[in-house]
Amino acid sequence: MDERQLLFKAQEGDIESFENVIASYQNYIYNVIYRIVGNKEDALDLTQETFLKAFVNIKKFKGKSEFKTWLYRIAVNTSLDFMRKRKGVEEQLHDISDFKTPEDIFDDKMTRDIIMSELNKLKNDYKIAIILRDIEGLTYSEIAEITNSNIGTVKSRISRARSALKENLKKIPGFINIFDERRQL
Amino acid sequence: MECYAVRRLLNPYIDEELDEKSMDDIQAHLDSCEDCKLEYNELLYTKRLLENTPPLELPDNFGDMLHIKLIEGRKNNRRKPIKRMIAVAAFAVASIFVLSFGFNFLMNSTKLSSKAPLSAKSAANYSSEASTGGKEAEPKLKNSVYSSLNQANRGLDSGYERKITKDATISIEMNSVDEGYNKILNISKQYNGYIESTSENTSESGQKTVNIVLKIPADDFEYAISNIKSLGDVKMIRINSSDITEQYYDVQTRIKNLEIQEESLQNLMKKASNISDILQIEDKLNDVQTQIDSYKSQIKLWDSMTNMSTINLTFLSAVPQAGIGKIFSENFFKDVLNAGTKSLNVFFEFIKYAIVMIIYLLPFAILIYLIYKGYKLLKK
Repeated sequence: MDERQLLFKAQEGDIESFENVIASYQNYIYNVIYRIVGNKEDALDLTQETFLKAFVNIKKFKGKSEFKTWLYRIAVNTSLDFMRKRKGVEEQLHDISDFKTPEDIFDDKMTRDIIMSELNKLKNDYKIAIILRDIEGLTYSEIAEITNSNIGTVKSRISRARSALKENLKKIPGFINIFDERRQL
Repeated sequence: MECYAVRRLLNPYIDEELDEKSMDDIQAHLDSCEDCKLEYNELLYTKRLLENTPPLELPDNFGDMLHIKLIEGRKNNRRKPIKRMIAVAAFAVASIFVLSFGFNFLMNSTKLSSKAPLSAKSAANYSSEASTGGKEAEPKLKNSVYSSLNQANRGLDSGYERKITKDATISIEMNSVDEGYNKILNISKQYNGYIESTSENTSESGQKTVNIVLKIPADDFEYAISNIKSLGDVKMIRINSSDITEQYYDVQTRIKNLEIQEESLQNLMKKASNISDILQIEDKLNDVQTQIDSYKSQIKLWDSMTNMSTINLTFLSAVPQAGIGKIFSENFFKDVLNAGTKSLNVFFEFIKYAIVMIIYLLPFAILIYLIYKGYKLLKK
């Protein structure tokens, strides 16, 4: 059965069909949410919430956009809701750069943590745009659809986000060297 | 192409989201400009960093966890249409209620204003009721009737004053009758009244009874009553008031007519020359004058009645407590029985009111519940 048929069955309340459809998207959604909210436990909860919302509201999916885009949209909105609620409850952004030595930075996990923490410093709109573009590899028009904005906005958000990210990463001791080193490779 | 223009488009260039011409132009520029090339590489590197972040894997049991949630979700979802219907119904009922209240209110206010011109007529009905019907109404209630009568004045012109007589009969039990008598003296002084008569007697059992007829200016009647009530244990109280306005003015007009008659008779008298005429006229004049006198005395009586209210007071001294043996007489069982039935009555009365209250509040309770439910549903 192709996706459309499965979706049709899912719309009639068939859980298995729904599960089959989402199977290929689960990890993408989980990762997007993880990048947005910044911790695994919350990301896991929100991923479940996203799919539950998708299932409950599946009749509202009319097939105008791709199902994947629709899922992303729910994921982004769910994450944003969560961030808004969390805001003020905890404003903890552990600053890793303070205790980094240049050697640590070669460590892949460290690199990932630094990127995560730098992403978290961006405004939500910028962060989401850059995550969807560079980590998820979506096109500008898809991102525009997901974030319910126009392409011009998406373009400027991504541009600013990436430039800001670059500048921030350069400020981290040691990181700039890697830049230079790797550039020459 | 200038550097600043290239820098602005570097990010879309990296993402290949530009048209072909721009892509070519920027590539050409980057080949020739070291600074822009560096910027480009840094941005590209940042992008690669992001692209290369290793993705997380969902835990293995995610599918199972989600499955449970989906089943729950489906259950809730199936129930939802009914809930939504309830919410809609609740909202409809609520709006009907609000509308009906508003409508009622509106109707009442328009009714009131349209009724105003008729109030004279309705007040007239009222007064006939008041003068013929039961007059044991509380002074307060009476007052409200008076005020409405006063406003309407039954078509009489507003110069007429209403004539109302008030009297009360009160019997009070107290420990010291003499002290009560002194207090009454004070009250009569306080309100500029007077004691018309007193009598006192003592029964065989040693119970002292004092009867007092007290006159109090009509305006202070109610205050005096409440003062007297506080003197002791009120055994009986009856307050009467009657509206004699109609009779009063009736008599007054009769007096006026008679006076006119008197005047014309006197004029005739002056003109009369023969004896038999004079005698006849004198006879008639006498008649008229006696009538006038009797009516006038009636008016005087009424005036004093309306100016001063009468309070018939009876003070009873409390019966000295009899010995223990007497306490357990047959009266005791009667009292016990009375107490029992009384408390039962109170209890059933209470139950009755509780039920009435519940029925009365039920629609509101349901309404509030439904609104609450609907609100919760909408919030979800």
